[in-house]
Amino acid sequence: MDQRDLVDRAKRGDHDAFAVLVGATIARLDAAARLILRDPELARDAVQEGYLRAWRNLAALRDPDRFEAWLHRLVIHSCIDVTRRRRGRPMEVELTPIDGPATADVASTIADREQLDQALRRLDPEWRAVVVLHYFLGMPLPDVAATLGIPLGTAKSRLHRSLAAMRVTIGADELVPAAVPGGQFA
Amino acid sequence: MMPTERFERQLPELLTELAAPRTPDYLDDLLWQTANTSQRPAWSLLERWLPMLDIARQPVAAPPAPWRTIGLGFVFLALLLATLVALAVGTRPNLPAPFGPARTGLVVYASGGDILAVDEATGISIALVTGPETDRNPRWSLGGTHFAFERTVEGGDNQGLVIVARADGSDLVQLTPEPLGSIKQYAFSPDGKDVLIASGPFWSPVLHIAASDGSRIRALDLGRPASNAAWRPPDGAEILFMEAGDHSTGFGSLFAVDVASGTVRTILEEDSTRHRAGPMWSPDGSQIGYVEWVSSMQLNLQVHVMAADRTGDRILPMPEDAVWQAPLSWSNDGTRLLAIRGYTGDSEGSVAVALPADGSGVGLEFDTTGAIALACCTAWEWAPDDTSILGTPTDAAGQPLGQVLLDPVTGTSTAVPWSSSSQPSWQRLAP
Repeated sequence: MDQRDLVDRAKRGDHDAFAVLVGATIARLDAAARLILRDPELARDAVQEGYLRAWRNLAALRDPDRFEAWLHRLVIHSCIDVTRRRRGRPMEVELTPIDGPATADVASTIADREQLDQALRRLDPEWRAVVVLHYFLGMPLPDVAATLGIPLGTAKSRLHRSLAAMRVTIGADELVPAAVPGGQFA
Repeated sequence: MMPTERFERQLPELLTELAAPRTPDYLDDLLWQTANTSQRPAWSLLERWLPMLDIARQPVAAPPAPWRTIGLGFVFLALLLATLVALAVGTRPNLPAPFGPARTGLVVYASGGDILAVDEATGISIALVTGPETDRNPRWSLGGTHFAFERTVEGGDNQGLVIVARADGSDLVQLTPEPLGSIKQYAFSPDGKDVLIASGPFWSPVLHIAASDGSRIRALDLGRPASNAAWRPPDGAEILFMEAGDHSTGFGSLFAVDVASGTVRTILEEDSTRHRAGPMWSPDGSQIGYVEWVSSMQLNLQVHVMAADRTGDRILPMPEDAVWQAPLSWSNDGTRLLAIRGYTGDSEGSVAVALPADGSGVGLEFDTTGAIALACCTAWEWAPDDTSILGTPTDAAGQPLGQVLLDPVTGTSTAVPWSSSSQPSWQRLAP
């Protein structure tokens, strides 16, 4: 059974079909949420809220072929909502074992994933979302803009400045520090 | 290769390594939650009661026939000549009042990605805006001198620009400097100087006010997601809007924002036991019509009308055997509301009805069997002289059907001779 059939069945209230759809998508969206929020508990809240919203509002999805894009929007927006609601909450640090495959170029450019983690953490979550949607979920920038509900130019600008800031943090590009005055990204 | 380029090229791999995608341990918990959560019934979607522009997302496949284009060209030339003659004799435009009855002009619509206008009396269409771009959903200004439409951004995900043109399709002005996602509504202010634009996903809509000359645009910071916004007649000093809350906690609190000061006043507070949608000003701005239901799982919608200060809320009557009804559009004289009425617990056999706004009767039902399903985005608009009602019904899947005209005197309906899936929009002319 293809995804379209599963979505049609889920729209008619078939929870088993929805469970299959969840199983096929949740690992990547959970990872995206953890990248954006840099807090596994917040990510869990956001992903659960996104999927609950999807289940409740499946009737609003007109084109079953757009299910994944629609789901991405719901989960990413939940991430943004969670961030806005809990700005005062202390962040919990995710402990990920450092035993993944090494990459030679990466090793020469970025000392370890802590640097990338640090670089991501210095970005506002809404800026991180642009980076994650584009580079992790592989969305074209117009889709990123549509998902976040921001103009395309804003998405481009946020991506450019986020990358510049990350390069500064990890020391990968000695040419760009002047482009990020004072670390102001709001 | 520069380090910068290498960094960006390797970023997907680095992010994947950092995030380590895996099936989370809360999957079972999540599925338990969804299994114990009711799905929102399709009929309760807010969009069903709002004249959303989404109804015309399906472009018409067949391009206009060449002979028709030629014919339309002659008509267009004749209109141009008439315009030039009018200018030559020095006549000044005589504009109608922005609200209330007016003389009926052309219907503007989109077909095949172009914008056309049709004289409802003759069925003759003229092309207003043509070209390779995909344009849709034209909406007249209240003075009938301009129209706004959405131009689709190629390659974008449901992104578009809002553009304004003169009534003859000339002098295009782009109002949105950047494309907006999921454009849902746009409406001219009563004086025609501004356009209110609603965009964004249904759970997080955003309102903008753009100058109709393209000189500025600003987002309305209302402190809450807002939908179904409308300028208050007769001067547009306020904008009515509804909070796009969550169905599980109740939604439909009504507010009005003072355009000049940004002050928001509450008209109806949120009530978790009641759900509301489709608020609409009466033509004189003194009353608000809306639909309310008290259960998410049953069709028990009722048409309410109240004063703008929320006093005098009343439910408009319906026949004893009717189960529900919901408002769609005010007549221009403010005496009637076009509504949709159902006699069963679902949308089967629903009919359109012209309801007296004062609650004095159950109204005149139209013979629209098969033409009006309780489906997404049904949109209707009274002709400026109130002699007919133009609508774009949709099928059960929410796809637009051809437009139809209702006669509010005889209760009959007829299919229009032109092919349009746009939201209906009549040009208002001075009497």
